[in-house]
Amino acid sequence: MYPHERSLVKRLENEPFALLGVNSDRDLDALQDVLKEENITWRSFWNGPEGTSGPISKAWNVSGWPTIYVLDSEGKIRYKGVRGEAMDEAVDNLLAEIKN
Amino acid sequence: MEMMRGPIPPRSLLVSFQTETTMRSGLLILLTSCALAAPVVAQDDTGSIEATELTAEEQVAELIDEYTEAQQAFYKKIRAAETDEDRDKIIESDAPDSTAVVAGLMKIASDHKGSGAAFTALNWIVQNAEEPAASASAIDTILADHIENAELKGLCSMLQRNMNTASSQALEKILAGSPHDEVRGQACYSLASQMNATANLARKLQNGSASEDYLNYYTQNLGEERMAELKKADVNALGEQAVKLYERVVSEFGDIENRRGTLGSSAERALFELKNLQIGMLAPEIEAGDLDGVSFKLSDYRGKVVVLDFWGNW
Repeated sequence: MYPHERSLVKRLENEPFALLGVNSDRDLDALQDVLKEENITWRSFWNGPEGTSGPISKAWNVSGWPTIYVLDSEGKIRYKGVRGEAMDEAVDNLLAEIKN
Repeated sequence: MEMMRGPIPPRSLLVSFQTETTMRSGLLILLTSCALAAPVVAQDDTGSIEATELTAEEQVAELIDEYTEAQQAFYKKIRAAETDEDRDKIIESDAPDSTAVVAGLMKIASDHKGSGAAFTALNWIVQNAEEPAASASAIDTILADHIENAELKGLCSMLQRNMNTASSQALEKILAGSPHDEVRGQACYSLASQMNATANLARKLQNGSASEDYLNYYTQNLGEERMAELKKADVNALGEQAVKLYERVVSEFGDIENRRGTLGSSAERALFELKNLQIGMLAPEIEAGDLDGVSFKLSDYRGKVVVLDFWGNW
């Protein structure tokens, strides 16, 4: 996952695009090393000390990890559950919409 | 003692050999030719008949144990394989065949119709039979003979995963016919979840967003005919049915406990997703701290395309 996300963020660094996480780790201190090692530069909401049972994932009824939503520039949900190349394609489609 | 000829019978048939001197030849034929654990009757010197058969429960347990052992031995062999080629060979030649155990369990279930042993046997068939016909027939028998069983919850969760009409009809029968609120609640929740998953699958088929792997997986599980049906199905109508069923869970079965709290809270979450997290809907606001404790909002990113990724490094 991380290498793919890193390359997406890098490729679109000058575009109106953001990768945002909802992180479900219980222990934030332990996570700091991973962020450095994996060069995870994108911002994440923290789901809280309850981990995968935290309030954000509960509200969004997330039962599988990772779960991905893609939102357009107006904040509307446009894709759900897209991964890998399908995720890239979804983002490219929405970026193209802004330009047209 | 008269020597036994032919194959060695299963352990279940050997228990009554203590009075072998009076064994009749007819019994020997039964012992050596019958693969199933039939009642074995031995006659003692006084001429009285003594039944020493295994109970139906024991017969069921033994058939299941033997198969489970064979399966574990098979997995052990697979894990020990050194090359992919060896592994494929083992899978091809040594995979345990469930046909015989399914036939044995079916026989016990019909000989002891309506009993606890029959229920255990039929449930095992539903969960393990490779033949869809065997599984379907076991489900029918459970619904006909065991609709009052308090342990039908497991079957509901099982049926939920199959997105075919037979499974939803079975769930509807349980919802209508079980005397236990716990079972009926689970049936209602399972029916709702199945409907929801069906709507999602149909949507993906219709908007072309399903990947090849995804398509292959579901085609293999549901069959091409069902997939063709779903391509034409009314996605919104399916979604509305799911909403109605979840609402019924909340109003009728809300307090019943499940693994994640109550059926009511699970249904509420599913309803929130159906009403607020569908494609085309404005994403609900998130306001929380980031990993450094600095608070921010999802709507801060309006104007940008956003990938929202629920992740964890666990």
